[in-house]
Amino acid sequence: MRRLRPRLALPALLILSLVVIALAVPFLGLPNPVRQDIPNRLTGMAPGALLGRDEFGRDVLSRLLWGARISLFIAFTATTIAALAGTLLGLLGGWFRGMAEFLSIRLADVILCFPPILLALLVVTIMGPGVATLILMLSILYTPGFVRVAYGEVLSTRNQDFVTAMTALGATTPRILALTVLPNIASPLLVQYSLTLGAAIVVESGLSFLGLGVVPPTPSWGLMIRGARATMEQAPLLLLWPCLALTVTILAFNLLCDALRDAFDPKSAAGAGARPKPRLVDCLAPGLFPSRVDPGASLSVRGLTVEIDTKRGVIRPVDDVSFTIGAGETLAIVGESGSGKSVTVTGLMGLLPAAARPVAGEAVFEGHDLLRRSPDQLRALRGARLAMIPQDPMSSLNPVHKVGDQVVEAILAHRSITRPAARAEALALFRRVGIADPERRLDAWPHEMSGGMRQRVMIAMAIANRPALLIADEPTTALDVTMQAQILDLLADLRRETGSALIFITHSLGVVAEIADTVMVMYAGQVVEQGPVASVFAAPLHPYTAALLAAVPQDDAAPEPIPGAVPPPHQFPQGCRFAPRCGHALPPCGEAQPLRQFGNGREVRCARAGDLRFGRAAHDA
Amino acid sequence: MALLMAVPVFVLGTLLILLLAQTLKLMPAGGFVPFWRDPGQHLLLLSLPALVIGKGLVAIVFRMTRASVLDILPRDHVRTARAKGLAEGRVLRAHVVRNAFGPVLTVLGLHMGALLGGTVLVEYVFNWPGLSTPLIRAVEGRDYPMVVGIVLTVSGLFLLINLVVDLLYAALDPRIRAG
Ligand code: SF4
Repeated sequence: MRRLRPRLALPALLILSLVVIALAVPFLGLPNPVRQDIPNRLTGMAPGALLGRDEFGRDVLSRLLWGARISLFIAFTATTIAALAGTLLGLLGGWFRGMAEFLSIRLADVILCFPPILLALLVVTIMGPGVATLILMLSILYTPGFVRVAYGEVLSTRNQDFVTAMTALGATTPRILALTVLPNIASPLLVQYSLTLGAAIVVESGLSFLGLGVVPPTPSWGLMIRGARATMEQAPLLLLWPCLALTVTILAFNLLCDALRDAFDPKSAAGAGARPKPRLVDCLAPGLFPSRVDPGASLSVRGLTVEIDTKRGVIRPVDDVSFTIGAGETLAIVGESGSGKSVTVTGLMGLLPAAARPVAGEAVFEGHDLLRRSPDQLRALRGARLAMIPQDPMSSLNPVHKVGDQVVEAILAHRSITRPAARAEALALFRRVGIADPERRLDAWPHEMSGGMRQRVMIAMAIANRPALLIADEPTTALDVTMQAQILDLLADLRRETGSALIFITHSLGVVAEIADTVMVMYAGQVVEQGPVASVFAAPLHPYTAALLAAVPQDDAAPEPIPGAVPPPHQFPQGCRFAPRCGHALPPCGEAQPLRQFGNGREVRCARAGDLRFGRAAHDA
Repeated sequence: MALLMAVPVFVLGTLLILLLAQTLKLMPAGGFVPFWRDPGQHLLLLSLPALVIGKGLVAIVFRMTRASVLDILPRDHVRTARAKGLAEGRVLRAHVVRNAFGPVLTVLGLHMGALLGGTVLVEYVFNWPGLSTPLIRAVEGRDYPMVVGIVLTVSGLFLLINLVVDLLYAALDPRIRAG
């Protein structure tokens, strides 16, 4: 875990001191908290009674501290019982499923749905008030919370690889639970524990306040507030002290709970992103030193590098990526999952998550560097000149808006036309992308449409403002084969009609030949080979490209899958990143490989490029 | 906000009485006047307990909305909204908050239970003649049938509220309407 920050330290310290005080109360030499001294009732601060005396002349400070002891004792005991019972039930329910699951989870649900104070009052009616009742009742009340947490975590943990592996190795169930599941669920349980402590104190003091919890004369904060209410006029301070003590204690538990939650949950701790700094020279003398840009190009990317802050340090999922795509051209970016394709294009669109940022490079689109545009300038380009078709049409439409409205929204974001006019355009777009019965479909909800239909909606949305560059991020992965072919045809048609450039991301080389002019192969964040599709396919220079080609199913040859997987970004090898999976590695491959020109517009990143020959003789025959 | 969440309802109620009724003498310390006899006084007397009970909800709604919004933010459809070039405010309104509302509503309904429980305490603090006085008396007197009766009544109310919440949820989310 990361180092303890003050946010965690402060409440922890407060609670620690409370616990110490509570433990030490009997040894502090305080006056007896229950000894009455009627003649001195309601006297103010005085030596021997620092905070004065209550309505029976009892010492307030002493009662306050003894009250802390009682409250914490009840809260800790009840919470611990609840935690043990709840965790056990949750573990059993989550691990064995079936009957155990049904009993523990259903029971927990029933209790959770019941208003807690009412349940508490029922128990008091049966057992009568008192400390034992409180502990029993609070344990029952808070067990379900732990059952829920433990159950949920077990369900998600039991399917993880290492647990499956242990099961396969024949480890016994208690052993697996103790060794793998418990440590994994420890942090959420700890959060739940601190949350429950605070809640238990609230319920305990509330019941005591009603006179149904701790029995007088035992000191308790709830009882003290109850007593002081009667004498509010003469001694308002009497009321204030226990209120303050109670509130501060609960506050400390809540803060501790929040801090623990944040410390354990990496999601909430992502750092804020920063954009690359504008070049100084561009600020001083714009246009004096133009960057190296191909004049006719629609998009020219040079040295794009993206970094992400993670718990294990800064990673570079995209490292020094350069490519150019001319107006009306199609570029295919190919590579397995994890090669950095999607991060590259999301970076260009300015849609990276907050923890990720482009740290170097430039991406010149229609004369401006996308990486150095202000968020507002980028926004004006997005959906207008620069549009994107996402990978998963299922989740990319907002489920609570009608699909037609979502397309209309895209049109209205960039053009000032009336809503009916935009709706008419949306109708035409629906027709264009081949949605049957478009008038009715405009008013359909996303969940009423098939995956293929939704992807057509996404395409309609993307082309709504006639973009100069369309980025399609694996647009057919989530669809079945027939649908894939239809969507590809549609994209090819649209591109021909509108003359927009297209970046097409895919992990399969199968479709590339049909649709693209140039191909760029990425591996582990780097470009490993790029060039015109025909020549790359005929004679790949990089072993990875050759392996990808061999993995495409052909009529006459069985596909050969590539052994192994792309390493995660914090484990990229020092030298050639493909070396661990490459069947042609030699000693020079241990060095980092530069991208080398190879004539004919081809580039490759391999020590043995040119010396290795990968023909497609078998396929061409 | 953290402080507001930490104060138990009966402490807040008691302190408010101390401040507004005892010290500043702005309002009566509690009690009840039927609405038809003196609407103004009725509402005045109602306002403090209502505020105090509502405090629990403020905190819960705050938390839940935050969690729900954080959950929706990284969703694909939000990225789509940004990819369309929508202004950030519009992205948040139409594609984040609108979607985040459903879960908030559900949790609100579930917490009505705690809220109904909280009314017991608050009614007691403000001397409001609701179900709480007979309930507390019944618990003190170990009058089991009476306690069960009141608990059942309140549970029924709780179920009713949740039914309404489910209906509202369906109105908000088309996917549930269809199912
Ligand atoms: S540099 Fe070496 S290890 Fe890397 S792809 Fe080329 S031959 Fe294989």
